[in-house]
Amino acid sequence: MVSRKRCSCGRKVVFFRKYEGSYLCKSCFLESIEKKFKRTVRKYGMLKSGDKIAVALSGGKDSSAVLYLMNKIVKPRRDMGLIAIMIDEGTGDYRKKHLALAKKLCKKLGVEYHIFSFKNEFGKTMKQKVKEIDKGRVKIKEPCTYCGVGRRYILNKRARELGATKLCMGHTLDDEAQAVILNYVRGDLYRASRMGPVTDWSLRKEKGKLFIPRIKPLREIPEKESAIFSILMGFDLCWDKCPYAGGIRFDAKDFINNLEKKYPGIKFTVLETFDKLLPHIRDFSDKREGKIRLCKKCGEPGSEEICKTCELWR
Amino acid sequence: MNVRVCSEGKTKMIKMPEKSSIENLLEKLEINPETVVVLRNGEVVPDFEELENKDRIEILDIVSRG
Repeated sequence: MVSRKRCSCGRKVVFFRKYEGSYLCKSCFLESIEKKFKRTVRKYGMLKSGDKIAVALSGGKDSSAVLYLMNKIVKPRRDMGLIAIMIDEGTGDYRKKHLALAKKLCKKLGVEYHIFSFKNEFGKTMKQKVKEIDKGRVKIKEPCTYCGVGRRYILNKRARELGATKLCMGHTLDDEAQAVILNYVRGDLYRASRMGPVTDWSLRKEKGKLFIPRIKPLREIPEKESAIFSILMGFDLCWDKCPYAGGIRFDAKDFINNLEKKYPGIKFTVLETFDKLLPHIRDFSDKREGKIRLCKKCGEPGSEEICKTCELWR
Repeated sequence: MNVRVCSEGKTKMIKMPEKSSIENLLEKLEINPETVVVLRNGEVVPDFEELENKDRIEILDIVSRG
């Protein structure tokens, strides 16, 4: 039976946004996401004249949405540029399928793209790293730690080499709320201090140019809405899951989703509260351990003498 | 009524009481609506939408895990 509830424009509802009590048709839903995206970009001053934006593109729903929306803003501008960077971690079919979709989207949108792999960068794939973990040859057992550290390293280094001034991530509200909870339960204030809509605070302090500022224009859009946006836009998507994903970060996500089901809007509250605390966390963290150092092995920036990437991958 | 449910590559027929909604179906399957997008006969539909006999329901797990 078709519901009698209608969007305020009179059309058929495709989504009910519980946290604001609005019933939205396809067209109003898509428009609302685009508006929210642009508002976030403006609110946090994410773009400026002369910027070259490198979008971290995995080919999943969130990064596809962010590439599409960012391209819509940047394409008509003569004073800005946009490229996409993809990482092949070497996770078999999962990544191959996603990379194929990512390339297809770039070609469709006319966006220049670059692909870098763990194999070329570190001499081994995630598949090989997981074998080392399984054989008990390494200290940290969570594959996502190796993958996340490796990806961040390559994205920053290659974006810088490609002349990018901003690295644009597809992190949604859910990713951000999850990271808040995760850093809290781990007691990791240093990592928490590096969060936020634009992560360039350390750059300003250190006057360095080694870290490319990261921007997160989807941070106020829930993951479910990012997924619906990508489906309604007709992007080719693959719903396979990474074969190695697991661990505490996903427990944190489940925790947040269970709360959100009972108390709609709680993800926003988690992030808004964190944003209010962020200046204090940065101040506290900076006094204790906030110095950026250059890694003795690879010369890339980090917080220790030997950076996390060299510690885990080399 | 019976609905055909496709989730994570598996398809099964599920019997639901008349006038059940998609939300009721997710409850029965113990799935948090926050973690999925539901397509009915290939189209995105809101969770409050009522099911109809022989509906083809696709449940997409949208939580990034990678």
